[in-house]
Amino acid sequence: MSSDYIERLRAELLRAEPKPARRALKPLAIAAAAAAAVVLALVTIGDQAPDDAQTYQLSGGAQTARVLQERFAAADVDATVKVSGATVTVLADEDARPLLQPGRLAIYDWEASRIGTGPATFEQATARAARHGDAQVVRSDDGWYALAGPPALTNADLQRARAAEDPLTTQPAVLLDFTQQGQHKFIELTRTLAQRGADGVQHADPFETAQHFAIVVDDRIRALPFVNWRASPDGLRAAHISDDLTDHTATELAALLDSGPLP
Amino acid sequence: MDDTDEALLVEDFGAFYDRYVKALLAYFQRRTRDPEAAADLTAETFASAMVARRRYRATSPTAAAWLFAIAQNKLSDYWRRGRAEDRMRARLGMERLAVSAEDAELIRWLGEEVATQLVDELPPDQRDAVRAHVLEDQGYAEIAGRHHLTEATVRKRVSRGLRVLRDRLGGGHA
Repeated sequence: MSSDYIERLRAELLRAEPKPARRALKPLAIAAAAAAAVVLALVTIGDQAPDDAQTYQLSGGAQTARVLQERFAAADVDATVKVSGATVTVLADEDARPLLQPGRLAIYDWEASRIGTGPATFEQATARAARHGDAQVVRSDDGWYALAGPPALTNADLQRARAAEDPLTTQPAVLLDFTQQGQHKFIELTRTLAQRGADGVQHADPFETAQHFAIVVDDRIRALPFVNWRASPDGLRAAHISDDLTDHTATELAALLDSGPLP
Repeated sequence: MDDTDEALLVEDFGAFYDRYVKALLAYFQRRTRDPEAAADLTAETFASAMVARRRYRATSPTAAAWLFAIAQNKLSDYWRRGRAEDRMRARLGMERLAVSAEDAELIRWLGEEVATQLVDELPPDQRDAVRAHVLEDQGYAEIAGRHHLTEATVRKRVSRGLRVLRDRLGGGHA
């Protein structure tokens, strides 16, 4: 056999091999200290705003400021937060931008919730969603989707989000700890997915018929895990997000979710 | 140099690749029946492993199990999308390699002939364990329960069987 594919792939992999370089981790702030802080009319976080600070403005009051304060402390971002009437002003550098998102978590039964097949443009997904009253338009790395609601779980079912490692691959991850009620919902969701994946195909490849759940944060699908119905016929007990995260972005995402959504 | 899988993964990725590339091509070919998809999935799996390897710790499952866990994620993603993703290859700036007729022939041969034949030649206890776990994707606990064995015994048989297969497939040291 005259194939040289194995040698060519080897050469291409080694050519592309990245040089070892690790971003220095910022020390994590203590979340409890953030929770204890009291937000009044004016809140200052950190010693001072960084030199290259930008100004961000959000609508909201003291509650919005308190949530932002928790996020900045948990992600170790220097920022100054001011509340004036119904406007919150944040003075911080670019590191603060991902933490200004609403932080809304929604977990969907992917196959049952997806409206239409395949990814679409934003306009197409919006049109699909318009035909369903409570659908959400979300983006993935391959396009836009419309997901029919309501989601199986939301922020109300989340007890804690923490940056850690994917238990199997050791990649940076955000582990989602659910409330007791949320835990029941999650097991029920994933058991349903396992049963649907196994229906009538007991001898099939579980990866071919596996069903998925989508973990959506704001308008973005952050993970689309599958349930291996042969290995986990009774569903899963834990969820985590580990797609394409670094230590830094895992810390940011955990801070975003752990503080709860913006009002 | 320490030539365990775990050491090679971190210190000599080329040698780690040599050990598992044929097994991975066979794994994907058996499941997709598509040599081009098997080639893409193999490339993407190794690209992901190369990016992630410095985080691998010996306290995790074996390096082979870790690699195949990545492979399972790629496979599930392939069935959902209808194609292999190329995110990690894009991140590394890797080019997609063309799969010639000869390449496709090699991949089919690995997936459909060699793997089955070699598995059949294993000692019966290893053969049954490898067949159930690797070819039929049954969990360790499920196999243990069905054959009245401990999970540790099943793991050991699978591990030993895979080691024999790897050696027979020519995954020697680089």
